[in-house]
Amino acid sequence: MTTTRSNQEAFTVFAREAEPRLRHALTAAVGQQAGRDATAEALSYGWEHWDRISAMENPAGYLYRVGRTAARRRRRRAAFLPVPASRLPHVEPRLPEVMRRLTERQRVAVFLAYGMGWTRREVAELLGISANAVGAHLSRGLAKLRSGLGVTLDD
Amino acid sequence: MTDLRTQLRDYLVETTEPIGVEELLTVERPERLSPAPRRRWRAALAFAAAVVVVGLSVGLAALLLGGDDETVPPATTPVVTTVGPEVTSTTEAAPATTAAPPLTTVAPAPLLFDEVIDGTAAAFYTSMVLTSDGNPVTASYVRDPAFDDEPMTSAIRLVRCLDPLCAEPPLTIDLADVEWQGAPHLTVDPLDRPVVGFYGDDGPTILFCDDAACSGFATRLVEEPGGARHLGGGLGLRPRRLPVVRRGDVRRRGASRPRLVSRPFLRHGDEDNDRDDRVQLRSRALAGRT
Repeated sequence: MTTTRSNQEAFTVFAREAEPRLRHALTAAVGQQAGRDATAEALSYGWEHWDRISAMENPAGYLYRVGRTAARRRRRRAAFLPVPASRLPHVEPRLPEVMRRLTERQRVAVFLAYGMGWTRREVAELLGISANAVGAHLSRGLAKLRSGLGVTLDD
Repeated sequence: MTDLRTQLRDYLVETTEPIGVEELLTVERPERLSPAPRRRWRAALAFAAAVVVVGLSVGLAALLLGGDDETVPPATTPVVTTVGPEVTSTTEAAPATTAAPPLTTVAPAPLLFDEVIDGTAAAFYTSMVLTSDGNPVTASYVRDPAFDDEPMTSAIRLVRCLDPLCAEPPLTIDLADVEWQGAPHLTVDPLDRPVVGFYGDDGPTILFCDDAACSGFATRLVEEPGGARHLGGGLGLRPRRLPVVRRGDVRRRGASRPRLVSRPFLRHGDEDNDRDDRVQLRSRALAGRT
């Protein structure tokens, strides 16, 4: 009983820290609704197999791949919702369409490293790729973004 | 206007609602998910998949290229006849089986090597293959009366049947006079052009016919570091007529060590042969003689 409670507390601490990261990354990868569903499934899987996953070196990266697998099984294509003008009046209306044209990893790198301020190492750890690869995806993604929106980026 | 970084952050954060962690702990999952393959297994899985794809491709290609030709006319199948004298003798030996069905046997097909090879010549060391049409092609040595005083000198004769049972007079082509050592080896490429491997005066030689009737040909010598030895064992063709020769080492007194000789050991020997006239290669169609 004590072990169960301890596990629950440990998972809660982990999930509170990992949930935004997973949600943001999976949202960037597969779209808003599918990303949120995939995050929920990944965290549920993490709780179900917490004994094994807690011993892993990078449980958040593992659960990111679980979420990607879940999203692929559902076969939902990345569908970025149009931004309601009343809700986010300052967001460029073309932003979702331009982001949709990026590859999945470019999109994730741009969202997380550029938009959310993650370090390249943090993005690389979650995606399971090298920091240099993240840098390449980021630069190409930003170039596409710059071209698509016709703006000059400050980075 | 707000900078793009802020737009991205707001778009990502504002359009997705956080997931309550406490709710997750009470959720009953309807299905068990499998995680994606780990990175260190991806290369192995990709390699295994590539091997399977290549294997299937090669097998399919071999099946398509090497399939038997099923278009042989039914009239050419062997004729089944009842043999009179044998039936009588068998019946007398077993009178109690009078109710048994009459014995039948397959008449010998009109394919006799003694007839296919020019009957006036003593042919030996015959090698035979079938073309894509099922027509036999043979390569053998025949003794040339001009070289009676040189018993090891013979001509390589190519006999190409014009039908599967060699009922029509075949085409006979004498390719070269050689001091033979070992049997010739014969194969045909996908265009039915014969390829003959033999041990010529300059050593192991491969002869490539220009067409199915071998109206012309080119030769290549099998060259190997350490000196040429017997050509033995067999001759095969890879795609694009790249020959593979399985050779034995005569110095091992029968306990040959098979070797595969491929393109790197073949050198162009035509020019040397023509200039030095060391190998008297001649090609003449002798259809009229048969």
